[in-house]
Amino acid sequence: MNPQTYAPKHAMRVMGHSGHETLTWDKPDSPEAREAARVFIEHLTNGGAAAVETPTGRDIIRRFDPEAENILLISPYAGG
Amino acid sequence: MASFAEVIADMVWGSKPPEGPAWPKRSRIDPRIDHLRAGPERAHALLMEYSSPAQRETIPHGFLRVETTGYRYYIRTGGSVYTMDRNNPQFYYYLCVHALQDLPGADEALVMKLAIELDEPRFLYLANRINTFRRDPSSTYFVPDVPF
Repeated sequence: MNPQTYAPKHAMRVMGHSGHETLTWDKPDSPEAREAARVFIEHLTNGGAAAVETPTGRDIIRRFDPEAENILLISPYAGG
Repeated sequence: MASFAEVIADMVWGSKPPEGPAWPKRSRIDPRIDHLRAGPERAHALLMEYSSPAQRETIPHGFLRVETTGYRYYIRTGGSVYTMDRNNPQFYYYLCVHALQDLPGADEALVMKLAIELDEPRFLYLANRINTFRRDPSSTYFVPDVPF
């Protein structure tokens, strides 16, 4: 495997105060995917949302999909 | 006879002082500092990635324009959103809405954009409508018509 051309199959980006962090995994049953699932559940528990790329655009998901190619965790928001 | 400074240098570094500055850059001590500094740039790149070509054109004007069937939104970084009813364009509203995390400005604008695009009714329910303004150019709160 060439590390310069290697790109993980699945990625999840998590917004934070220092910009987003990216969690990646290759296999749905890998420890990296389980860690991403844990972060996903924690984020939604705290009121956040998650968007995923679909062939027709973007959609909100409420369950972690380890097969999704690109997930973005959106911070919770409220009226000011 | 060696000077006092040379004796101290010999005690600290050995017989030869190290090359380069005595204090390394902070990023050499902790590489996470570079990562933190690059946060706004990464946020801007993410916003550009998630924006359509038409929306990308609006960003240099200071607004991110998002259009839905009923409203036209002008999102400013930092949590303020102006919206204009397309059926009643002489008025616009100032919506106050903030991300609950401390985010870079571009990420905060992206949160608002996706909230509007993915679940507009919830966004309008949560956002506080602060005031309604007539489109008066002399007003402090006037949102200029941007040429795009």
